[in-house]
Amino acid sequence: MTELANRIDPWPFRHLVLRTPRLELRPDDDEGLIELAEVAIAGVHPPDGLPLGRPWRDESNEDIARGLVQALWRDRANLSPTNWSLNFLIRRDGQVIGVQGISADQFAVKREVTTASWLGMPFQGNGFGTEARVAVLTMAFDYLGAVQARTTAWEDAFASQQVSRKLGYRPDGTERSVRRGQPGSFVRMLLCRSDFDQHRLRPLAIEGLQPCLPQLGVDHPQ
Amino acid sequence: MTALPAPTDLARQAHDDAVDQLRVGAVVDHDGRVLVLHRPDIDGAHRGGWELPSGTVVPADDLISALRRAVSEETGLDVAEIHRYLGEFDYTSRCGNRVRQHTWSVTVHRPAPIQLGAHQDYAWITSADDRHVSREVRALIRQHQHQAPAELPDPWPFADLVLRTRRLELRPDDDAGLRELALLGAQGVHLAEEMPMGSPWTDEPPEERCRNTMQSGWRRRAEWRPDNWRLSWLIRHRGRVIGTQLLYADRFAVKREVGTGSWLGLPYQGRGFGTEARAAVLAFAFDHLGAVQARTSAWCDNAASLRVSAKLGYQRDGSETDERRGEPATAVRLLLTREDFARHRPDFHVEVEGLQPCLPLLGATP
Repeated sequence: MTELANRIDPWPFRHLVLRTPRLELRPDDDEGLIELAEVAIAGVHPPDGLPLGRPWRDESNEDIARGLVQALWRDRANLSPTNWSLNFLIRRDGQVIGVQGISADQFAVKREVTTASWLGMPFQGNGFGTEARVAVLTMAFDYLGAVQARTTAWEDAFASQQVSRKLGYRPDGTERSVRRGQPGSFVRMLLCRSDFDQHRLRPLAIEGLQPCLPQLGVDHPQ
Repeated sequence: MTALPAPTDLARQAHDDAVDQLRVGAVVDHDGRVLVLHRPDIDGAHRGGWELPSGTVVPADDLISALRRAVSEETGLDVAEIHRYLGEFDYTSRCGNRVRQHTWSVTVHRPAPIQLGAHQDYAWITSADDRHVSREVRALIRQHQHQAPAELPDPWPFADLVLRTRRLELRPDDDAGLRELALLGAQGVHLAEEMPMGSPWTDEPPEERCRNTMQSGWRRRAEWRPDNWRLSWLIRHRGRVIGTQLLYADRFAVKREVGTGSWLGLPYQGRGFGTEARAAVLAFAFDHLGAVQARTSAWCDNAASLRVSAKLGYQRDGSETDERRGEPATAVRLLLTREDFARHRPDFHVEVEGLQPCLPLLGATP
């Protein structure tokens, strides 16, 4: 058993970590998930508009919490080199403050990632969301070899759109969706590698990525 | 919930760890608010900042007396009750001593008047983020609040569910245990019953097999619904994962039927562990969930598995055709009624802990 454990690592993501000046981002684990669920129950606002989990506040706390952890377990269960979603728990001073997701479909071919995120209410307005997004974008462009990145925001989520524009995203059409039973529109935003250049975190402290690359469909990273 | 450890054990441990000085601290809780004290920067022994009431343990002092005295000296308040041990942290004092502080959550008889000792100011805070406290103190306050009476709902109460038999302990899977199970499975398994889905003995490379085992575990948790669930128990013997026992149900509230599947790591087969684990979850289903029948199946050529099922009282109930390594194969379907189990069940007692909060998620109202 010990021998095999030394030879192979079925889930190398548990050693992956991105460090920014103020934040630490790690793919979710059970312990962190429970903490994240507590942040969610305390109240969140999804800056990227795409709730990782589901819309909030219309369900009981228990249902919100369970729906959230189940959604993130599902992403772990479905991760494959051709289609993956990684959910990074965002920690500040050791405390979980939100989640930053990054996903890709056929990355080896398309070289495109999509991000989404939310922060607990008490942690908004400090630039943490931008910092976390820049971290995963830097990973995608500089370490995975992405050529473009997408995100979406509700059409009336101006703060979120403003953050995206600041990072170099351009509007790229709309998407019809459902919000609490009502029709709503997403603004689709697209970021090219060259537009992101001036926003890179140099250097982004990143550890443990190498063993994860095959699982992300990255054979020949940059 | 952390029980109160014997203070003498804490003192002995500190001695073994070569700690020079012991301190005790208190998270004083009054109506959900926690008392923190502000120390000015000029003090020589500490950095300035907000901290918990605390005091040094002098020789011949026991920790609990020291704790009561520290709260009294630093705040003027009387400890009414010591509730929980919250933990310890170590630091090095300015003169180079290794100091260990043990902290408990306490309540006081009355929250006023406060008479400060060495501190300049105090505050009752509702969250560890209300004042600038050290990382250790924030962790202690958060820990205290997370397990305080007005607790947040637990999204996954299965973390505290456990079945114990004579030799085995069964718990729903967690990340660390899943990993242990996956590594065990990659080295070969004995199929104690047929496992519907998520079988780790295909011909993939070990790393992939391991990942499949873990991802199957996460998928079962992700797809959990009260009216359709699959609970995979890790079977532990002497603290080590030796296999897994699956218990599943579809619309249990109506059908009152469960199904089982299981496998053991090769080194652990042939010692009755599979029978013991299956009997444990069957007793759990019949006695605690109110099941009326249970099903399993085994490949028609898996004589050992068929024998175990017969011994537990299962009757044959037809067949089904399945795919095995690309070939069609016949599985025997087996059915166990509550009455047959009562006649055949092993005579050991199954201890169940932590079931109550899980019942709604199991669709069970026994």
